[in-house]
Amino acid sequence: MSFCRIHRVYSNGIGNMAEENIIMDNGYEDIEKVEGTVDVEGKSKQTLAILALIIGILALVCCCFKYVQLIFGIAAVVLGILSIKNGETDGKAMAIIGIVCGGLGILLGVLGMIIGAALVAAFKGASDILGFSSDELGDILNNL
Amino acid sequence: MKKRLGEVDDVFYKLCIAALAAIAAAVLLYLCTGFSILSIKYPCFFYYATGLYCPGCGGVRSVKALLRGDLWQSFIDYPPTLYFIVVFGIFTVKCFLRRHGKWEFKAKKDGAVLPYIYAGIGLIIVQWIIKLVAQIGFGYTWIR
Repeated sequence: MSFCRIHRVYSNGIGNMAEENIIMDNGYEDIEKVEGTVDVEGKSKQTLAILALIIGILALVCCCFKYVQLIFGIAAVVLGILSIKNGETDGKAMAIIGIVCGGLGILLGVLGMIIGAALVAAFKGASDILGFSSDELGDILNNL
Repeated sequence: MKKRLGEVDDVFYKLCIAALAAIAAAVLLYLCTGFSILSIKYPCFFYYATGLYCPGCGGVRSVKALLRGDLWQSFIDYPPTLYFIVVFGIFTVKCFLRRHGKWEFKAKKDGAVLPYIYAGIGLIIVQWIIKLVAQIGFGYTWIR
């Protein structure tokens, strides 16, 4: 009596996977389906969309860091657009939300920089007009 | 036998495991050297530039309150902290059991965690708007 067990993995290259255990006993094949395999027939890869979502969330909450938010925001928007262009239809919602969050992060980052620069310029202008140094003017304002 | 997760679930599961590893490393660092990562001050660039709260403001205070055991203060400081800890905690345990355990869960569509993530993003934005309205409209200092 001969017995052997063959494990085959089928893939068509776009994410379809199936596994089979083929048990041969005396020349007769008995195919046993392996439990737990995930059949992802018809699903496109969603890597870019997932990355866009994650980086978009980071862009939204990382307002604390000056340039990090802008970098994350731009990355999220670019990845989201690339995901939609590549035809990742299953991850379209993720890509869109990643683009929205990234865009909001860019907006807040730019707003912070513009307002911050304007305040610094106004502060420096005021200290020049009044004849104080920036540190002295800061102390006066703190004591008010 | 290790079972395979869907693409979206697999990415978020690995992120959760990486986050748990980072937390374990931080705890180990504190136990060995007494240095706490939470003791580093993180001044918010957006708040210092504009005087307004950003969508991430209160996150570190929320985590510190949670570590002190003050759940209410943690929720008040930054509600998404508790929400994401609960959601991703349950998600990680379920994925771990599905991958390594003997229990069979009802077959779920890949990306079942996504609606909860979208709700979390909505929570981040809603709590940010509430804080801004309280700060600008009523002069209330939300984060002390």
